[in-house]
Amino acid sequence: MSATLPAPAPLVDSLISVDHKSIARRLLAFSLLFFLGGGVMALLMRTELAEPGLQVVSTETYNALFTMHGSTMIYLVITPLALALGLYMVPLQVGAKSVAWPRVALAGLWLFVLGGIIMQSGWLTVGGPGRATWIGVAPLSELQRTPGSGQDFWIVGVLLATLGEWLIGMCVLTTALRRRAPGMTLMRMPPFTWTMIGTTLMMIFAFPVLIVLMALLFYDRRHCCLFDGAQGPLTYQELFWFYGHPVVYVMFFPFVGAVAEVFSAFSGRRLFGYTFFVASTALLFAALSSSVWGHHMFTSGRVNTKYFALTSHGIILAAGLEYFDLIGTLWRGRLRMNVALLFGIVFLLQFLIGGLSGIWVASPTLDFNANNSYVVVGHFHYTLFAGSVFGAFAGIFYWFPKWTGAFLREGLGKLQLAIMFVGTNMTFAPMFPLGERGMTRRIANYSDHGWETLNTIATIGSYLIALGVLVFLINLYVSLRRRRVAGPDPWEGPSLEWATTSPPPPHNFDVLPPVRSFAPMMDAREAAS
Amino acid sequence: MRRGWIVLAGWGALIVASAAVQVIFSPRAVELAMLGGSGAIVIAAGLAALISERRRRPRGMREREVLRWTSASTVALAVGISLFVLGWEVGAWCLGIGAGLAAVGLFGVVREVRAERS
Amino acid sequence: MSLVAASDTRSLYDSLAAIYLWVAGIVFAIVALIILYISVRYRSGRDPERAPGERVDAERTEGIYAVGLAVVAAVLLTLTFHSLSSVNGLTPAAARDPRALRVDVIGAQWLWRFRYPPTRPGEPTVEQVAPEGTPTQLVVPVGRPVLFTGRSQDVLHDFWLPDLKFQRQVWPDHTERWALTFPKTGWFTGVCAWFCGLYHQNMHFVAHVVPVAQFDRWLARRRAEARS
Repeated sequence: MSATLPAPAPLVDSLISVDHKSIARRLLAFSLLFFLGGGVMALLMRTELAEPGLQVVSTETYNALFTMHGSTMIYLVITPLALALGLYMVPLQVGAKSVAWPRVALAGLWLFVLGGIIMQSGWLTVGGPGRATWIGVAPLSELQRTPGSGQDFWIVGVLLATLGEWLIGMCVLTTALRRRAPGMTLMRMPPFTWTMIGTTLMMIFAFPVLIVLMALLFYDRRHCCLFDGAQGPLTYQELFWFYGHPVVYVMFFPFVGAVAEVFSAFSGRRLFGYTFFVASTALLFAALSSSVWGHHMFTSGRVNTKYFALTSHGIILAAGLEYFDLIGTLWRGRLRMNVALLFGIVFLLQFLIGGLSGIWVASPTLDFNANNSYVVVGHFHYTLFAGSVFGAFAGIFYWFPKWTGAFLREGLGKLQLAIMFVGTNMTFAPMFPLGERGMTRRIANYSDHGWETLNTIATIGSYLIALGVLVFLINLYVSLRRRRVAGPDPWEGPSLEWATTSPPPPHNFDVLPPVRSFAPMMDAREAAS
Repeated sequence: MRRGWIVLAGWGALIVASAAVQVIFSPRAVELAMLGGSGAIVIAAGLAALISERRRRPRGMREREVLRWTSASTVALAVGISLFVLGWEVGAWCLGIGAGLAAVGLFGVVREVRAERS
Repeated sequence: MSLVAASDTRSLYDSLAAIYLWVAGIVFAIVALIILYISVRYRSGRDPERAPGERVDAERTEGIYAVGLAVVAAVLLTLTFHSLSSVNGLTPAAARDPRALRVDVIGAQWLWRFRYPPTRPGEPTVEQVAPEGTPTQLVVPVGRPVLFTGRSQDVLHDFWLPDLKFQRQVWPDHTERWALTFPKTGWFTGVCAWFCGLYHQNMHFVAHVVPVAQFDRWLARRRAEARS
């Protein structure tokens, strides 16, 4: 049952391959590298914040650190990681031979990589890298207030990376809509593919807006005056958040889709409430998330406040239905407590904290206090790290055998989960009371207001997170060196990727089973028994 | 069977509907335009997909055979574009190298696509 | 929560926050308990022979649940709109109120300036500013509405008083108005809540809230000083 690995490609071939699986592996690898870099930046920040006073870095360096930590994690880690999962898995899940427009996807990969390198090259400039926050809001980001080529490299980097990501997203969307195997109607696509559709639908217009905004900001720094006057900073914020909100759902949907697959496989049940899941998650949730961006600007007093409060509260409906279906998939299942499932369960609980704190700040009255405080920092780290990253690990432990033909070690995985669970909650839970007590974000130093204890706890937690990541790296190394071979369908998963070898051949499938539902492999197994 | 365009057109309509709700409260022109315009673009993309799906149908769904598994030209194009954009910051020399590389890459990609089509 | 509009941002916030916190807590507890139950009850090890459940949906139940979610969202939204109207209503109310104190707020990298414009012709403006790095004192009377007019001289800043649970952005070429009432006397920290560059973290002010009579004396003395 063990698959023969294809002969390892020469390095050059793997860099210019148009095989979506190869492109996705590169995208994953670069995301992981940038993740480690962004993580080091976070550790430096947390070390500085453990105690009042400036012990570790200067204020100027700290400002660069939080800008680059946020920029790295959003533009260069979680977004490309989400797209990598989609790029690898969607063609397989829909039974296609390849991704649509493979050259476009390859171009997207390299635009992203070069954009990331250019952004980080700001560290080597005299003035330092971008340091006007990951948003780069004018007037602060204009030439007079933030001089130096580091900020320009940041703009160029964001532009190129976003362009590359957008191209990859459009390939994935087209694959799902146009390259499905015979018999796979829209309502027979697996849950993960539907979440990728929601993801890439949002990207259609949101990502180009950021690309244009970055070009405008670049022009403004070279010439003049695009963001001056009473409207300037508002226009910048409106344009930015029109991208900036959908992107956080781009960084969430694929991972909830991965968890849906994991729940289905390890519970032995089809996804519960498929129609509701597709309607609420892929479509309603995505439409709402494109409609809430003004809630980042409640404190400007110059947006359609009630509308954005309405759409933001609408998330309750979409997310609530999603949770119902995910829990329903586990209900009366036969749960195999593999690491993937455990990561998925922890994701479900931790993301909920992020989501509930999101409803908190969806209320303008409450946001008038919480905005830009550590309440918000806690909120988005619970959704993006305690949520999405844990969901990503669920997907990684689930699909790693498909990508490599080898299992990741379960024991090391459970150790990683335990350490990261403790570390994550130690780091981010204290941020809620800190924000309530008035600690604003983006400060390197605070006077001793009684905030020290909570900050110290958060710093210790961050080191635990780093330890957990280290355990994962060890797991990667051990699992690839001393391989425990996995066959084509080690988990008895529901969808078509398990109908081919691990890893799949370049053309993906030799034979496709009949597709008569959204869980064709479960159907095939039941018919055979 | 090939109903992919419905997803685009339907979701675009959902976006336009969401934009319309803004009117109930005190709408701002820029917000209405951004969301409404985006919805319209997605609907248009859906209609374009419908047209292209209709056109393909007589010949049946035929996935292009992949003749080659690598494309150095594509990478050259992507690197060229990146260097071109970077050139606006670092100087004309980089602009030139980028443009040249992108042109070479584009030429190569066009040749590859033509070869696949014939 | 009182149905009569409260007159200060703190109490409006506190009553709304309590409701949101309870709802969040209850939702989290319910989901956590369900997950805990599932993780114990449906482990494959417990009953290896049992086949997994076959039901793929429960459309009526889920439909009713969806309506329930919409109701919860609608209730929270209504409460939010109510409190938002109250908060937003503070500004026009203060603008009409002859007793309201008017203060101009000027944010600049990296300090706050407060100006008390003249209330009668011939009065001088009183300006409060402190050396950079020390918090500027905003002296205000307790219990009386204060109408702020805010702007910035350079970049986006944000005037945040955590104890009043309120903040507002200020930026150049634009004035923003908001009204606050300080319910208690004392010293209350204020910070800039929008990253504004190198010394953003030092851009503090402090609201010194004093009894009305004491405030009137202070303001009169400062106007006399400004005149001379």
